[in-house]
Amino acid sequence: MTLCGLWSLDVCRSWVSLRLVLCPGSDGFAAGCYTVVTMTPEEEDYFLNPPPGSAAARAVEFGIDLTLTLENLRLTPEERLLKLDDHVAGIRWLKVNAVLSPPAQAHADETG
Amino acid sequence: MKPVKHQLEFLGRHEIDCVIVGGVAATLHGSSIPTTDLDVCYSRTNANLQKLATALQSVHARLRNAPAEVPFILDAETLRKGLNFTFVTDVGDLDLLGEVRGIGYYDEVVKGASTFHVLGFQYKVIALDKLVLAKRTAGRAKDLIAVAELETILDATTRESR
Repeated sequence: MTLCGLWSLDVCRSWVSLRLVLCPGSDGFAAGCYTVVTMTPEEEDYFLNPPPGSAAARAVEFGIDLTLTLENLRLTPEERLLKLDDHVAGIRWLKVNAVLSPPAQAHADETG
Repeated sequence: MKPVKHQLEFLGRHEIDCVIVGGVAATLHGSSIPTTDLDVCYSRTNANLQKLATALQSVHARLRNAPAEVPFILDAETLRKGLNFTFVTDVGDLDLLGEVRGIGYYDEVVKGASTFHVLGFQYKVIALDKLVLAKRTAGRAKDLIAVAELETILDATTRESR
C-alpha cells in the first residue's frame, strides 16, 4: 500500500464510522473513498454545536461559519479543489460581467 | 486568476519535488477559505532545481510585480542563488518557497506531510499541525482567520483518534 493509501485509511478512520469502502484503484484505497460514507452524528455535532472551550467554539467566536467547513470535509480532497476552482471562476466571471451603476439618486439628479 | 488545478497539474506533470503549503494545503485539508495562488516549498537538490527551471521556462514564468527592465535569467543557478520566488506563469500564479517561516526548509516541511492523490497525481501536503504553525507565524489577519478554522479541523481529527 502506498503512502496515499495509508493517508486515506487514516482519514477514513478519523472521519468515517464503520463503513469503510474500498474504491477501485491500484492503491486499494483511493482518494474519494469517504465520499460514499458519512460522518457520525457525534462528529458532525462537534462542528454544529461546538463544546464550550473547544477549538470549534473559538472559531465560531472568531466568525468562522463551521457549516461551510463541515460541508467541505464531506468532500474528497479533489472535490474540495474543484470547488475552490469553481469559486475562483465565479469571481472571475463577476469581474468581467458585473456592471457598476451609479447610485439611483445620482442618476435621477443627472436626468432630472 | 487561473484555476489552481492547472498549477497543480503542471507540478505533477513535471514531477517537481515539493510540498504544497499555504491556502491550497488548507483547502485540501478541508478549509472553506478560498485562495487563488499556489504556494509550494520545493526541494533544493540540483536535480530538482534543474527540473524546476526547465518546467518554469515551459510556462514562461516571470517574476510577479518586478519591473520589466529587471534582468532575470530563469535557470537552475538563479534558483540556487535565491530562496523564495513569486512567479506569474501561463498556468497561473505560483509561489516557490525555499523556506516556510515557523517551520524551516524543505527537509523540515516534508516531515510528516500527507500524500494526497488528486487530479491523477500524488502530492505531498504539509501536515495540518505544521500548517497551523506556519499560518500563526505569518500572523497576517487572513492567516489568523485560517488558523481558527484549521485548529478546529485538527482538533476534530485528533478527538476521533483519541
